[in-house]
Amino acid sequence: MRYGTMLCAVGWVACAAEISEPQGGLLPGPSGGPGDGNGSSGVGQTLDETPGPSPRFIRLTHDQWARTVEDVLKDDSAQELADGFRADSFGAAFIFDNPADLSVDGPLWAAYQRAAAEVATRLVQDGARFEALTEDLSWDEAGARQLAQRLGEGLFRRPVSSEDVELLVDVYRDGRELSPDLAPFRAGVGLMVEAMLQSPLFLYRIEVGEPAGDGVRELSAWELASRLSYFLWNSPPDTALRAAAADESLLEPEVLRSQARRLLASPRAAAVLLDFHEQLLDVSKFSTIGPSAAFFPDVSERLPEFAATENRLFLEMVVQEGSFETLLTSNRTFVNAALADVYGLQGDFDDTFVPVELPDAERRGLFTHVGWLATYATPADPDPIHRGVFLSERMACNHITLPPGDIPPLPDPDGRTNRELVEKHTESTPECAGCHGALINPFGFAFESYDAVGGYRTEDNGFAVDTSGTPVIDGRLLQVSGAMDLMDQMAENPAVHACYTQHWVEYAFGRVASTEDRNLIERLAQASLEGTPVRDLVLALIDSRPFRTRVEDDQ
Amino acid sequence: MNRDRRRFLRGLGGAALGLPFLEGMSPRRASAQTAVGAEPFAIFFRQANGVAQAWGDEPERFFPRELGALTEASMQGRATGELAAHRSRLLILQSINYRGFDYGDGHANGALQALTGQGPTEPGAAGGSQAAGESIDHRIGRELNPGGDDSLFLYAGRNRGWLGGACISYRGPGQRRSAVNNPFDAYLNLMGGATGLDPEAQDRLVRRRESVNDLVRTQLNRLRSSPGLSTRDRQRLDLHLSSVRDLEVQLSCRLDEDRARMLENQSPGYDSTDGEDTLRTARLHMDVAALAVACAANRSVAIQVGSGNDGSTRYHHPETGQPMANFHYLSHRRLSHGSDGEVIPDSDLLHHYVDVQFARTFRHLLDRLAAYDTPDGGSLLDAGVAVWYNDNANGPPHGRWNVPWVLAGSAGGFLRQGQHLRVQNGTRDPNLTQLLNTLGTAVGVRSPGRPVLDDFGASGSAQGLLSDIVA
Repeated sequence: MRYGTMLCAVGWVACAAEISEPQGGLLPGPSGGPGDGNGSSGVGQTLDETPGPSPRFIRLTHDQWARTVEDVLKDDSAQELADGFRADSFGAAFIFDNPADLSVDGPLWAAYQRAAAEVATRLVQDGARFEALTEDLSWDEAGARQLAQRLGEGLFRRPVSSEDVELLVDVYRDGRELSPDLAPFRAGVGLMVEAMLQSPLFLYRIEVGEPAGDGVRELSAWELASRLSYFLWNSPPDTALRAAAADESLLEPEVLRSQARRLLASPRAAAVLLDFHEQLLDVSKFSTIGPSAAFFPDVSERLPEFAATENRLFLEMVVQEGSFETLLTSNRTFVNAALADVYGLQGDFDDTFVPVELPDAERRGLFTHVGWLATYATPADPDPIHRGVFLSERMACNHITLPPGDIPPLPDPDGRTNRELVEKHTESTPECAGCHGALINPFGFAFESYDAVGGYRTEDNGFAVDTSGTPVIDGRLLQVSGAMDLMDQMAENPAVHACYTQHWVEYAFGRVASTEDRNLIERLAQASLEGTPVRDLVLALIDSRPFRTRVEDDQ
Repeated sequence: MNRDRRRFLRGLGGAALGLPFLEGMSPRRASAQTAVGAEPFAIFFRQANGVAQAWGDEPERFFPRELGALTEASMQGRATGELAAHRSRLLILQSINYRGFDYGDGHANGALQALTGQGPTEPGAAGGSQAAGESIDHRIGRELNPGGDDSLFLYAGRNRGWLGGACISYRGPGQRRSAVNNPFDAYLNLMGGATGLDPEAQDRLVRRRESVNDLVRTQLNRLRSSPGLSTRDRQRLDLHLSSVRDLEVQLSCRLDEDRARMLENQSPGYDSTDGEDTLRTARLHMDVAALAVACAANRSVAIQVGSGNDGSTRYHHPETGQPMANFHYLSHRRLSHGSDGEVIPDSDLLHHYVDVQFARTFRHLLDRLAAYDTPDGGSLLDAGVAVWYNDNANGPPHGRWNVPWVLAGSAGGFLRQGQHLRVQNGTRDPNLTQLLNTLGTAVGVRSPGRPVLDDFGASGSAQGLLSDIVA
């Protein structure tokens, strides 16, 4: 069963809901606390954490397809091929791009065929690469058999069964006869590689596991190696991880932790940690930033690009050394001259991004940065409704009941300030005020001290901005004076940390969180609340029982 | 052009059924091609956000002035006037009404219902919604295509966005299909990859594919027969297995090398927020769609422009040439995806400008289809039906009554022609499913044991045909 449905009320926003009981389902209540684990990952773990439902066959994402081909076949053009695959449809309400219901349809199969042929052709025509791959092999059927086992372990992420080796050798034999312009061994290997790249053993991560009681199955060492590697590197297991899978030492918790730490120390893991936050924060939307030149004549046309760079540098800092609290409250960031102007910073700046500290009295955390603020703005004004919806739903996991389908024409807005206009439009009737008054507008109004490009302001249309409000998180009213106060309170709120760790669980498992994930999410949330760095949270997730297991298939 | 495609294109040559030469492809020549067959087909072209039809103080800018026989005078100045050259083959419908399902959002209610006739799998999920049934384009493909091949689902616009981007075509309840964004990839998929080779090389390619497919099928069947498999995993493997096809050499379904290269070179703009790029991509998709139905490779196509609310595409002002506010803003008449934001002056006129650009794009499809002769001497456009439809009726309310549907082609004489109709005496009762049943019937889909298709869509919806539009 799904919980905490992520809903975005973009559209003709009016709202007919009332504040309800906390909808998150997994948010820790007053008695919520850490599990009583052994502390081996620094965060503890509990045996009552259970895996949620997951498929047995998990198709590689397009990026994973490319990374696997690059790593195993040393083909540096694989990403170009994968970029041409048709985009996957999006699972309902899932915010990450690795949903568990990826499938192979006709157009994708055709693209796989073309890509496999291209990769294989490049391999057999690349003298140095082909010879490096086969230098210790005899160029005959026995060599092809060895190559099938060697490449198969990398591409299939497990030892190749004798049955599958023979299937591949059959293809090798056919290939020798079907490419007369190539030497027979190269021709045979070429078709064999084509087959390997179209094999379901390559295209799917297969997780079966062994029964471990109570409807739970323990992953095999090879399955665990793939789960770990694709989570932290978005790539197949490397040599060291394959070795730990081959001797099954990876099933020992301390070895799993050691391997996870090793992978986390790599730049590849940093890229994945960054990717999580960029998807969570919908950074791709920064490209839609388009302030009105009439209202903001001095703002650079490259603001979307600069905002994305600032955001990336800030997030890299967070995932390198910081915690979720850092993301919410740090006043450190990175600016160039154009952004320094928006932030009102004094000093010598040029095109180079440099670290700065933003004024304590004006900024706190990523949500007071230009990128997020300007994305959730119209070309002329802040957009408190969508700023509010984003924070309320995505960062606090509030559930907002959606507006009715047919909204009559609304009267022209009337008010002295942006806040007054929005209040009169959305809080003048009970059916709208139910959501807007507590779950949407107060989150957005807190940011009325930032204009449509993220510049700090104390007045709007000649009147003092009002940033006070009473947003609701986890069913409880907060009194906030403005954005910085809201960020401070969110950083201390268990439900907000639970929302963050819920998203980590969803990202790691490639599915919407389920009720079975509750205990794991709560334990990680408590750790996050106590200031555990992001990297250690990830390590704790890997160190959990749900990461090492899967649930019995639901028939 | 990337390297693999260059190599691929080098192999092309010989006789082919290509696109008719029309403006934009070759301005110096105009000649028709003869289609392989004249089997009825359906091509659906989808626009979001309603049209600039009469609403409140806003004047009518979309529908012709008069009901009844279409005339140039009645159409002039209206968005549908862009189609006047094809008026004898048009059927412009008013009073097509959708149901008010609990999607929690007007865009979801329109985009996900329009081709499925279904409500949501989960009430009130808005942007996270999924339709609870198969779409008519997929049904037509599944029942009428050789081997039950999927219909073509083609998309122009940015990935993601509201409703996740491409969202109108469904395989079944909650089973949203992925769309092909790149027209050149759609073309490559269509032709199968075996053309342009000499017979010996073709034979080798066929045998190579067979060899690989044998291995893939063996492994898929082994995985499928493993004990304790969940229904979802079995469905996933079944879809994969059904996608593994042996190569059928398509001698007719291809372009000559120059035009294939032209298609490829024009294709890269498919992932753009620029309205010119987006509609250019839609036209290229239409070229592929026309080729597909002309060579009888597919009898059903759905072409979607923009995400669920087409919220990032900026179409261009016809006089200044500059990008206007994104289409969703224009449809709201404000600089906002919600109800706040500055009012956009003359935004109903700007919405009309967008409608006109969609009308011209639809006309491109009709021109393409009309330029193919059928073996019996008719036009390919007469053999099937091309449909330009919308998720919503109009701008700000994103209503579900009087949603514009424009049909072109009689599907072999089944549908009325040359008319502007207000169906069912202007009812506000939902009748979308009757329209979908009629379109399905027109191209040859039948309910089991019945002479027509009359059970498509959600239970509780009006069933049977929309008799007003049957010839």
